[in-house]
Amino acid sequence: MATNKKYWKGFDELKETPQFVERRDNEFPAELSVEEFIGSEKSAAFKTDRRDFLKFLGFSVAAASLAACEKPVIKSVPYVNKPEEITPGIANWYASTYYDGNDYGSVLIKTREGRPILIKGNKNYGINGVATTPRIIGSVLSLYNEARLQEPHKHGETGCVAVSWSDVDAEISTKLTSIASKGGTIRLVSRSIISPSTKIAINAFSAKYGGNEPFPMGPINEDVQVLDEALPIVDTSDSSEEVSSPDIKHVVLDEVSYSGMRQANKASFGDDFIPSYDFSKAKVIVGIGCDFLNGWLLSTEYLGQYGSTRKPESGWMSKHWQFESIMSQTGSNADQRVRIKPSQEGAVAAGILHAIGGAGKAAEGVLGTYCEQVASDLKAAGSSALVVSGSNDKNIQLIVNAINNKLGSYGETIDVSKKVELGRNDDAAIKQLSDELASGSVDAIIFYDTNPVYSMSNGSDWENAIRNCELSVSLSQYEDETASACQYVCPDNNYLESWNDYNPKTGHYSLGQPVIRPLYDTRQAQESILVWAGEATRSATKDSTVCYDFLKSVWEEYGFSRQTEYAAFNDYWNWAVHNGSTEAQGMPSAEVPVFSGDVGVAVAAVANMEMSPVELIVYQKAGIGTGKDAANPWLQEMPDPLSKVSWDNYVTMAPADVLEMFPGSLSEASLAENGEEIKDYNAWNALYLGEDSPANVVTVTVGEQSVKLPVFPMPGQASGTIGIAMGYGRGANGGSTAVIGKAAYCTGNYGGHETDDAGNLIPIGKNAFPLCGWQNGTMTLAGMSATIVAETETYQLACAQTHHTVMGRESVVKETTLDTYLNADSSAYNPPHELSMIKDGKHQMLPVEEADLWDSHPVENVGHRWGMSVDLTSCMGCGSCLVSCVAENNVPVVGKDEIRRSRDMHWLRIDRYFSSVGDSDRNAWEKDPTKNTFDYHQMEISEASPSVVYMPMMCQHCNHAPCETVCPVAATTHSNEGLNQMTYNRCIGTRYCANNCPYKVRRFNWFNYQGYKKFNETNPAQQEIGRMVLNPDVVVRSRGVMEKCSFCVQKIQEGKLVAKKAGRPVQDGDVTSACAEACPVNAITFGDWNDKDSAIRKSSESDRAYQSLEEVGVKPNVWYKVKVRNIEEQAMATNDDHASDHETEHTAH
Amino acid sequence: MHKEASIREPLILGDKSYHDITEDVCRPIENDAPKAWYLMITIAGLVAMWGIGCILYLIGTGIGTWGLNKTVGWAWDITNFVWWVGIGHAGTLISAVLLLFRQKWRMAINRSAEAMTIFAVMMAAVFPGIHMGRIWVAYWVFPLPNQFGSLWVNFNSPLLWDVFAISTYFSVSLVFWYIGLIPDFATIRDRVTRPVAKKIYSILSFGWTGNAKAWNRFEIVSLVLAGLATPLVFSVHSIVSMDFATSIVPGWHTTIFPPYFVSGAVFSGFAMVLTLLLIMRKAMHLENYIHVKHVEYMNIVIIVTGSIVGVAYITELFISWYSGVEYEAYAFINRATGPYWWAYWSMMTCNVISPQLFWFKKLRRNLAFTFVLSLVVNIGMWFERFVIIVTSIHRDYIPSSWTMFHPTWVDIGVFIGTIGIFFFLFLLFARFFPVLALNELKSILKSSGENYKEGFGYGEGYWDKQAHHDEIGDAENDNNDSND
Repeated sequence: MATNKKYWKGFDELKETPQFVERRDNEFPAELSVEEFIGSEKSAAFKTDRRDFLKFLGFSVAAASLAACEKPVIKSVPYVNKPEEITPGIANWYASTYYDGNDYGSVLIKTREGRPILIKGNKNYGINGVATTPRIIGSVLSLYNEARLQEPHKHGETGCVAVSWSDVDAEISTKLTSIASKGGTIRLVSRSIISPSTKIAINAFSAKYGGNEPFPMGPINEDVQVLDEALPIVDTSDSSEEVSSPDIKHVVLDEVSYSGMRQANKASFGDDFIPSYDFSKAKVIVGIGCDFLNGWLLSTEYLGQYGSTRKPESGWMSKHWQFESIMSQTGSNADQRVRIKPSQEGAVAAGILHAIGGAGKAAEGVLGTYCEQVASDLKAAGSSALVVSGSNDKNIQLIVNAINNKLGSYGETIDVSKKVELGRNDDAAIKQLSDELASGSVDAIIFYDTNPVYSMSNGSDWENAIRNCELSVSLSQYEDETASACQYVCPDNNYLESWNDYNPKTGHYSLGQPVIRPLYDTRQAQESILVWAGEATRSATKDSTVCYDFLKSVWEEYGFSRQTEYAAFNDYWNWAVHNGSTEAQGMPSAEVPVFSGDVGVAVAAVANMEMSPVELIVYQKAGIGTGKDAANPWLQEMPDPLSKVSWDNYVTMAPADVLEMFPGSLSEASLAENGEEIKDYNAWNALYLGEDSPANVVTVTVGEQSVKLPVFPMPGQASGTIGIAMGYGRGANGGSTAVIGKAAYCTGNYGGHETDDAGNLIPIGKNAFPLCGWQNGTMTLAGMSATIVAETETYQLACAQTHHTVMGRESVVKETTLDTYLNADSSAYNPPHELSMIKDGKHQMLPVEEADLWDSHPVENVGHRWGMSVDLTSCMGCGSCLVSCVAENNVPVVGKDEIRRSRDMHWLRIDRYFSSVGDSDRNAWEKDPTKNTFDYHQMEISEASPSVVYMPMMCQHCNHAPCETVCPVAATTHSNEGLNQMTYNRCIGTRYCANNCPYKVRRFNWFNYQGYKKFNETNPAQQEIGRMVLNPDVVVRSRGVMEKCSFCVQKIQEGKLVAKKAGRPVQDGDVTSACAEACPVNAITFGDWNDKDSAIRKSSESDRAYQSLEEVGVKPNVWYKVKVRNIEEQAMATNDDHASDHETEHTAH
Repeated sequence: MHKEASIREPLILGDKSYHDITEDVCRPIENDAPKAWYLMITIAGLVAMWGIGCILYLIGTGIGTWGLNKTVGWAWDITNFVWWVGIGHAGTLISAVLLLFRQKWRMAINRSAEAMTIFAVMMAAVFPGIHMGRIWVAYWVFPLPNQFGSLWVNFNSPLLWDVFAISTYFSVSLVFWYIGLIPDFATIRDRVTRPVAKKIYSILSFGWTGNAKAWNRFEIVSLVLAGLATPLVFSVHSIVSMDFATSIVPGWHTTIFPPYFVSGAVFSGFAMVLTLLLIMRKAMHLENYIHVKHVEYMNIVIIVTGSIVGVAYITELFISWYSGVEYEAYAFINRATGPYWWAYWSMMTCNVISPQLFWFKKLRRNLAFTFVLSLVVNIGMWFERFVIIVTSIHRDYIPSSWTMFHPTWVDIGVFIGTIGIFFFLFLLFARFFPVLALNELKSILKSSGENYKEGFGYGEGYWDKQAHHDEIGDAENDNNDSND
């Protein structure tokens, strides 16, 4: 198309200025004519002589070699056809559910370009809200574990060979059919199954092979009854043939058994259920050996509920009593904690029952006094009280039921109509199966998501028996302890690759959806079961829709038909998948059944409990839990909230017991003189575990079994008890039989795995399950009578925090009592820090902000000012924030040796302080320095029964940041939004900023964690698959640069963009940090401080808000809120139950 | 001619003529080196290579090969840095400050003290370089133009001042030293016969002719450089101290640091000079030029600076209590009674108590005792820096992050290695360079020479009259010695 338009490049051309014309005409100037240049005489005179030739040659060779030095090109391949839902750079979130037999939680999964990279709680739907556990958050990394099985395997005489799914299916079906036809015994062993569709699948499987015992569907409630009726139960009873019907059974086997609790409820109420607990309604909470904030039943739900009672602003706080032996995470949060032995749990329960006027039995001695105190608190709270016990002893649970019944808690804090589906172990059935296996009467055994060879106390017997079965199949994701003993391993998908549904408690249903295509040629366990049941055929590709179709059909049949909101199934289904969970409609509210247990027998039984000199408790650590994710380096590296030890398990002992066993530099005389209070500086040396101060080693023996482990002197541990964390020692005989992932095995100080004499990898820690046993017919984890023998060797533990007290530094941690907080002025518990300054010619006490050397950053009331507040009262030290931060910010994993050298890289750490024996001396000294003395060395020693403070510590983003002024190259600078920024590219690594940081939150890249051989085994970024977990929004830092918390600056930018696109200012909630999102109790608040209505602004202006180390004058953007304890002032001062300890001592010996 | 009372102890002993001085200084250069020299330089070379190997391993692998951790970000690296810089203080102080104060005894020691300074500063400069996480971008500490335009260094940072201070000090010291060497190189040039050596020394001597105008300019340049170098003596260690003083770390944040560091530096510098010279005078037969009187003078400097350091230590303790600042008070309680008490008390013993023994004249004139004590002071001053750096930061504000520091073999290897490199360089210097400023020394022969004072039977003033004494001897032996 012709046009007359004239285009011009600028005004010069338009106006044809003289300069323009001249330049235009001179574009190819005549004086630089090429012909002239080439044809000149001079250039003809040029010649290349030998020397020039050599120069050119040399240059070319050098240039060519240099060009060859280029780094390898890593290609990123763009989508050929862009998937509709994926926009590069934009995250997709999916609602799903986590359940591993121990932890349950509705979660949201963040995916980037099809890769799941982060997990957080689903705050809108589900029973747990935002609350998850470090294990759930960390589970995203397990998806990328390279050791996951990549195809089905068969263990034959020729070793382990890969086979195709069709062959496996054919062989297994044939064998099952032949076993069934001869009337053999078939056993399916699984974790507690809370998935309705899986139950149906298993029943179909059972029916196919002629089983006549349908799946125990759980409590009789309306929903499940329908399921029950719908099940195709094959009636084989009227078969006229001679062949006896096969014996098919499904056995539930979890690591932690709640059998005793179910039995007690059966005795109390006639049904073996576990009720729902509502901690949020409890004004007084009494835990007896119950770690309900960490791993006990639906702890994700309890975390949030408990947290809601720990908000002093509301005018009340729950009063939490804890009777326990080890220092559990729950116990560390208790207002009053009493140390008892596991064998005293019954006496405590009976004592409380007696003290509240029930048919209990008064506890003796000091314990009795405590029971009286508890009882008076309980009686005052009435039905708003809740007593829980973690014991698996039916009698103790029965007494606890009686207490709750007496108090009227049923119907208030305990809801019997909502029955918890978790913890369905039937210990008697397990015992029976174990015996059957031993006698060789089991023909076929299938394991689904359970690992008895590892988790049973007689695991090695199981292993041998499994090997003798005619058919043994494991559906494990890994070649784990049990799988390696089975003939066939048909690897299950990771839950992030699977469709599934869950029914954690009555009326609540949730869905799990895949967020990534299966990485390997694995098959969801339900599909395997369905295929073997003949209900489905395996699709040729790994993009199987068998489970999806099956799940949909189940939900259509049982879910859709029972709701009225949606007319079309697809709408209903999409809504359910979108939310991830649904509540069943029209649930009848059950009446509180009448309590009818025989308490007298139970009290008599617990009164006869024998006390052993040393009692063992096997407990769950926050990171490792039951050990399913023992190969997860994030979780291994997460320091235990109490001991701060990572990458190991150990024996926790009371410090006094340790000293007695290993007198160290402490003389006998001074030990006797000091009693159990360690007031000797040298003694502290014996208890100090640092980089070059290894732990003592003991051998713990229970019955026939013994393990050798290092000792961690744990303040707060009851004397005469020892604790060992479960979940360690996974993948024994690593390399030769079990393979569960590189990070599950010990690594050397210069990289590489350590091996034993046989060349096998050495698992991290020791397996504590063999030390567990049976008590009154139930599997027990506490109270085993043990003997401990001191060894001469020592062992290096990796402690992320080697100093345990706050040294009385009140500007770091402030504490008060509820009474003071409610009734006194804030100056009583949160006094402003004043400095003596000269103003107007005279000395005055002025607030810290008056003293200022520098010009202020213009962050106040200009644009945004990002701030954070951390409520020390709510914080439970669970560690979710820490793992979430690791996941969000690609925080490198550095392994045990580096942690031991105090080089953990965590951007957010949780400081844990024990109260110290010198605290009272110091208080007295501060009041009158002339009359009292105190000794700093005593401040270093934790009390035997300390109170605990957790203090999440991250970059404080100081407005007068000391790190910024000292960097020679200005690599760390202040943003105009109040952020202290780190420019990795500019950093030259002088580490001056880290030295000058009063909070010590800066982290230096000591090595190239992504490439150096030392981190081969531990750092996921070194693995082709593991690298997929990295957040593409956050750069992976190189060696030699400093890094630190950025307040999740990438999330800030994202939030600002969201607001910008919506055309509105940033609102509260647009921007959060990973830690704030992960906090189960909303202890962390993040937002724009300049927004006067924001939660952070309000939080920072609360009476409890203070800034840590305010007097240093660095003006942080992080506020902490005074820790409030619901105890009497007097108790606060001593907070000590030494008396009870002595009592324990006396009864023990 | 400067007159000096005859009762003053002479600075040059024996019956020395100008020619004797030339001979005594040039003999080691012109003769074959003794076996001991070969032995020593082999050992020093091996240690140096080990150190270089450790440094290469460090650079190749990462700072993590040192024992540092999240709390203790500096330890042996900066301790060694400050220690070496301190040692590097004596040379310029002797050559510049003492020149301005017309202290003639400096003539015998300034050359080697300056050489020591140069080498010590070189060793010091190694540490800020290798302690960086990314040494390959170390040039970013210089205010260089770059493609980002406004991207500039941070002039607030004392580390940047350090870069300027050390580089200025090093270049001025090097120039000062070299200017002083020129006439002496010319003397050697005129004496050596081996062609290669002659060529090298003639290049090194910059065509020195020795005429009066050259000497006149030499004097002026020396004076100007002395004037320039004198403030540097005080600025360098003041600025090094500001690496600590401008921080907020309890135990570092101290206004007393600049004078305290400077006197500490002089203290350790003189100790190192003594260590080196007491060996050198024996090995190179310079007992007549460096003798008890010189040692006594230096020991007096050690008493004075050691006492200043001692007062500073006690002032710090007092202020930490007087300030009423909890962290400050704890930092010093922790130094004295915490887990690093042994380092603190080593420092106190070596630096405060032991130099006081020099109040006894017998001791300060005892060469063997002085040698031992010079080593003690060097050790003490290393501990001083270790105490300041490590015991301050290993327990600062937040108790949860308190740690200990444990050196690794790489830490130790790098430190020992720098000592090896230092001695390697110093041995080369002693072999090929005039270890005494021979031409300057000649200028005091007639005022402070023993033979002059004694008169050797001719009575006081004889040598004034016999001004040709030297010329007689020199004319016979060395007609080319144009400097006499």
